[in-house]
Amino acid sequence: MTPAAPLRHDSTADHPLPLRKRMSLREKISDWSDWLNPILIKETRQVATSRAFVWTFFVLVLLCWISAVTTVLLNDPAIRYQAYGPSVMTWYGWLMTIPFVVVVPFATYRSMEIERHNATFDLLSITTIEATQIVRGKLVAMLVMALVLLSVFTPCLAFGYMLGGVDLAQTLSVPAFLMAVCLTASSVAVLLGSLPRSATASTLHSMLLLTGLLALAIVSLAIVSQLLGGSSAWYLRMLPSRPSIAVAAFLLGVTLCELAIAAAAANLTPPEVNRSSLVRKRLLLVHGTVTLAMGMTVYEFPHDRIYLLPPLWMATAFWFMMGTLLVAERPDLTARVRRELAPKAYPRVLQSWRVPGSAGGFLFAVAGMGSLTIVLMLVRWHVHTIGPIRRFPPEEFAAVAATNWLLFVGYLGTVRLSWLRIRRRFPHAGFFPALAVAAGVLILGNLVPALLAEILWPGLLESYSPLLVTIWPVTLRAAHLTVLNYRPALGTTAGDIARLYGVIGALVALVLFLNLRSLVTGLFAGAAPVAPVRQRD
Amino acid sequence: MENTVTATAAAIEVRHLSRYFGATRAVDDISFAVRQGTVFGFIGPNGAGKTTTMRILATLDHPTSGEAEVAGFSVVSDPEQIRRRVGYMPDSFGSFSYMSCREYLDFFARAYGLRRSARRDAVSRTLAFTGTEGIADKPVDTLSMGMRQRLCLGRALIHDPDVLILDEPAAGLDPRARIELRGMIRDLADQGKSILVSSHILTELADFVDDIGILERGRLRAAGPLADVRRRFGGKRVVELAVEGDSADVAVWLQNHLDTEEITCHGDHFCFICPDDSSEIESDLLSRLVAAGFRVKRFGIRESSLEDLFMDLTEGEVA
Ligand SMILES: Nc1ncnc2c1ncn2[C@@H]1O[C@H](COP(=O)(O)OP(=O)(O)OP(=O)(O)O)[C@@H](O)[C@H]1O
Ligand SMILES: [Mg+2]
Repeated sequence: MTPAAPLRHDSTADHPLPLRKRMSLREKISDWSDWLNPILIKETRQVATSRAFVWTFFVLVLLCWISAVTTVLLNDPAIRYQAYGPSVMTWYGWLMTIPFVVVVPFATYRSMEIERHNATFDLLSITTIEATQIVRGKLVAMLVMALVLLSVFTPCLAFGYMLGGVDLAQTLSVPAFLMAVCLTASSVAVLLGSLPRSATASTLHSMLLLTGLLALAIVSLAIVSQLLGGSSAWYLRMLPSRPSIAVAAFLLGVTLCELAIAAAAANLTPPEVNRSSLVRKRLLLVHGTVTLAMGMTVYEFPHDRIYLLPPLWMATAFWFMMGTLLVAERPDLTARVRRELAPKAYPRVLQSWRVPGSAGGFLFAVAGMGSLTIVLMLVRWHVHTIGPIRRFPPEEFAAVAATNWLLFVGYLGTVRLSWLRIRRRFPHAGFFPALAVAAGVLILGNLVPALLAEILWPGLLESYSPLLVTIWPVTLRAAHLTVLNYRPALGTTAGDIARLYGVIGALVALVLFLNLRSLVTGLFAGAAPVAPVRQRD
Repeated sequence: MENTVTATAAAIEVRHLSRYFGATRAVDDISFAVRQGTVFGFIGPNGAGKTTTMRILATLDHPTSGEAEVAGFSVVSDPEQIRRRVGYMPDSFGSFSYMSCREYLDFFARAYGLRRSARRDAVSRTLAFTGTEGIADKPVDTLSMGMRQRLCLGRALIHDPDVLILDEPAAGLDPRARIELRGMIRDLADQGKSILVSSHILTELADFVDDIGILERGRLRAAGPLADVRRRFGGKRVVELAVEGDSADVAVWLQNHLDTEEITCHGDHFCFICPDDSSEIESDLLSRLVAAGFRVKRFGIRESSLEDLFMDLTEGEVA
């Protein structure tokens, strides 16, 4: 074994007229596969030859056969004329739930974790592969595996369909639903798997994920039964008559998966690099779909406040969580990040939401929630102009949504201030502590004054007092009741409105003022010309 | 662009590079250069900061301060450019389960963007160069240490990089495999590649490196062409002397007539560092000893060895 073969070997030099060998099929396939993500190929190779996958596959095949044969044998005469479809299909649906909802997402998580454990992420990150490619490759490979497993069930589903009692839409809805759950759960798993951590945290994460997946499996089982059992669930009845909502839900699912991929990729990227802009772009996409979905809901159900407010609360919760993660980004910009940003101050101001770091993140979240609020108000107004409305007129909705936004700004600003202070103490604190801080701020602002009011001044919670301004639901109710001086019976006056908004306005202004200095330095420190990092001697 | 201006003849240039982990100064203000087409030996005891430096050069870590350029590009601002041009062999293997050696190399070829016949050629060329053709279809997680190291080197070579960074490639190899590895590294340098290779052991590298750098506790104790370093830091010559008769007399005489600090004595055998460079003094010393009436049995002068040099430059403190 002598290292004699030269590494740069010029094969054409020996043959002036190279003979064109006919390519073998293997080579052709290998050439064609160049178009695919290398991680996808690697993962598929690994999973397809792994013992765990081969076992799962054969066990499922065996179970499917056994259940088909036993069903026929046990119900032989009756099965020829009675509709056995629903019960057989439900059984197959349950059989499918475990591999799709638990096994595949958990395998996705493990495949991320193993790379970290074996330090092979290092090997990947020095190649020209990008972090998003790694995450996406793993996710798609798992999807391919899920499709292979699905193929096991295809004859079973056909068998169930032929037994009668279920229509084609129902039959197809089961695998479609389970695949959607599989993809969503796998995206979350890949995000969890990308978090840097210690060995103990890793065990904790696995257990957390497994518990979550099992709970999801139980929910999925219930939904599968409902899909097949001539369902009475309102959300299933609603879907066929409201395709726009189904489309919006689908888009929302896709964009949320994309967001999870971007966030997982950001976790794999070193903090010195700008890993925030991609996450923000994906977040903007989610934001767009959320806005669309909510506008759609308000438009489809104009007469019912039931359908109007829950999406607003959900969006607020979503933006509050995302906002917390965004303001928890490191406040300073590394030289590398600054070099990528617009060098002039003026364009920088216009794109400030894109500037990575805590300050840009704060602006992004505030603007995101703000634009969502405005869109909702406009849709509500539009609905008002085309038809009569029984309850909850647009003015009231506007008052509630605007007050909600003001509270959002105040709370997120407070989270940011607290976090900046804590981060000074613990510069390497991650995102989970930031979420804990946000939860702490919410509890301090809502529960503590509510408890105090309950103990010290019973009854204060019912009649509004500006002392309770930080209690989110109470303030929203007050805004709702007082804004048009709508219910004189409750004794609200124009003075109450002034008092309410005076207090909220003052609080939000105070929080913004306290944030101002770090906001300005965060956004504009990078605008100063960046000296090359190279030291001049 | 800045990069084209700063591109120099050095394949790797490190300037005032530091990397701190909290209070630990893993790398502390080091500067050195690896010339194009040469092998640079990076030597230091455990915890000296070799791996940390190499990880920064391979764009896996960021310096706390200072700058390094690899293949003319800055590790701070242009890591993507460096990745195409550098091959890195870490101190751990990084195996994938359920994968053969050929698939392993094929995957990394794809990961570096090699397509079609370029990819297939790269894989077969690398298998041939590292002598792993015989095990091409073996699963990577069943390989012996020697084969692993070969495959690791192959992975670092797959995209035909100009610069190679090898972190302790000889660790765990038997003597024969070490010699073969040395041959491969030398071959690569002869093909024009620039190589930074680390080791704990100076003598292991001395035969085939052009330049060396000796690192200890994050600081570079010496760097430059091997002969230079030896001359500058290891230029000491050791006098070995044996006389017949009473050795106590000799000891007293030496102490009175020489200004050397350390004289070690084993029976009638003396050893001390020659106080001056000039060889005249040594011959002078011999005649003076004879004139003083000592019956000199043995008189010899030897250059201090590479081990002496290493022990002199490092203080034996392990971080
Ligand atoms: N990620 C890290 N976090 C904290 N300290 C680290 C980290 N990586 C390295 N160190 C410390 O930096 C110092 C240098 O370590 P490094 O691995 O570079 O040494 P080395 O010369 O490669 O040693 P060895 O010969 O044992 O491989 C050590 O004190 C080590 O503990
Ligand atoms: Mg090391």
